[in-house]
Amino acid sequence: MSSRLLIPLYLIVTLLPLMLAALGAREPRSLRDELASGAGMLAFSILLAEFVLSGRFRAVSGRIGMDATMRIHQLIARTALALALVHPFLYAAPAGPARPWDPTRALTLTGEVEALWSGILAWVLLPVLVGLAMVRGRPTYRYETWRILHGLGALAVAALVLHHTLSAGRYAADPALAGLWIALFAVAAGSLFWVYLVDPLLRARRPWRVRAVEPVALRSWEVTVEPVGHAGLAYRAGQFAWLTVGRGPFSKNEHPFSIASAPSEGPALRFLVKELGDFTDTVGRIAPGSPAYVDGPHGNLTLEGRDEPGVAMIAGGIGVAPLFGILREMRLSDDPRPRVLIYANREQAQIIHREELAREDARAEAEVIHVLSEPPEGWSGETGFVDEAMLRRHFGGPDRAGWLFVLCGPPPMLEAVEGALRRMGVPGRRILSERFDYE
Amino acid sequence: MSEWFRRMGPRRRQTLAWWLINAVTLAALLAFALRG
Repeated sequence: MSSRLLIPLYLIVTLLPLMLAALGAREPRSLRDELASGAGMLAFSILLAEFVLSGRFRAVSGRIGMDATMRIHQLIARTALALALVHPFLYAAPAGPARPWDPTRALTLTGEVEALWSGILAWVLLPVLVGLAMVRGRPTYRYETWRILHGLGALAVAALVLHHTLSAGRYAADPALAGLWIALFAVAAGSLFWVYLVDPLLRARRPWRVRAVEPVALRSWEVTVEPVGHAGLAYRAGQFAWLTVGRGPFSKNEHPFSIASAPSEGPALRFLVKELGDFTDTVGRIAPGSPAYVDGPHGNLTLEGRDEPGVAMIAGGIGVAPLFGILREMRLSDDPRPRVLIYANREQAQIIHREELAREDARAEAEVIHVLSEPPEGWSGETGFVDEAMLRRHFGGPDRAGWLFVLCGPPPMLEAVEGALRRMGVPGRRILSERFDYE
Repeated sequence: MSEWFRRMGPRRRQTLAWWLINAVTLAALLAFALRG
């Protein structure tokens, strides 16, 4: 499924209860009463959808990225909060006991405390939940304890709202809508159960161990992990995985890292990690032998099913990691197709595995082109940034027509390169790209 | 349209997606309330 379908899919799921209510047999009431009920229903469906947008549910975050998922989750929480806060105040109908001549509650609101206590409690707790998340700020969402508290708090609010909806909701008196609410709640609670319980247990049964942590360039490290008592990961070159290592800061910060090794190398996985001024700065202190957990593989930056006559790889900085995987797999599997790697860095000391790339460049079917924006004296490679002129110089010839372009790097670079490729007439289906926003 | 969307930074794109979701949600709420 494409990431572009996520917004329509999201809207369908969150608007489904409202649509079902509109199609039900209940007669509409005054505009204010209908706005109030509609706002309440929307707040609840958005709240339930937030569980799946929690950033830990990889069906979503694996597609649009962890950072984007977290931000959308935070933004949409404000919408749910606003709808929930206005919900009780929009009603115009008076509260009171059910009247025998009004079985569908078109004239009065439920006033019984037994039916309203859960709604009132949720109405108080939801702002606390959202407010605490906003006050605690962005960096804290990484910590496991905070996540668990936030998740359990959200589950409590959702359970209270479910009780309120089923006991006081006029439209939820319809068994179809009641069933839908219960099903959506079950999916939300189930996703939490999966992320916090089932997934960690499954991973614990497939442990990994750090074999080596080696510096490979300026502030860049290669972390090699090996499976303990199992066959390893069934992945394709170019994919990424969530990596958790040891008991230090790294263990609290699951982060996606591209796999730089090739499946044909064996079961050990090599990850390239760049120090970015956060928990990644501790990577050099990871001791060999530390326990590790790998969740993956994810991502579609692979050559599987691609039959283009050649492969052009363009990397910026640490974005070279998945391209190392692809280069190595092509070599180990004797892929005869010509390939070119354009590898851009700021300075020479940032080039990872320079000797291996030199050996690769010496092969007849491979070419490695280094680009430095701050080249040293006597530098003979390319300089500046990867632009249209450079791309035309290397890929404009008829012998390299119809090639596949595989890009990985920081977003500004990718946007520039993708734009240049499109101006060169390369169709989107021949461009695979993966951005990393970790800087 | 898609070119313009692609050129935006990720943060602005996320904010735009949020407002798009809000607009559709509010339109659906109004349609629901006004259906009578």
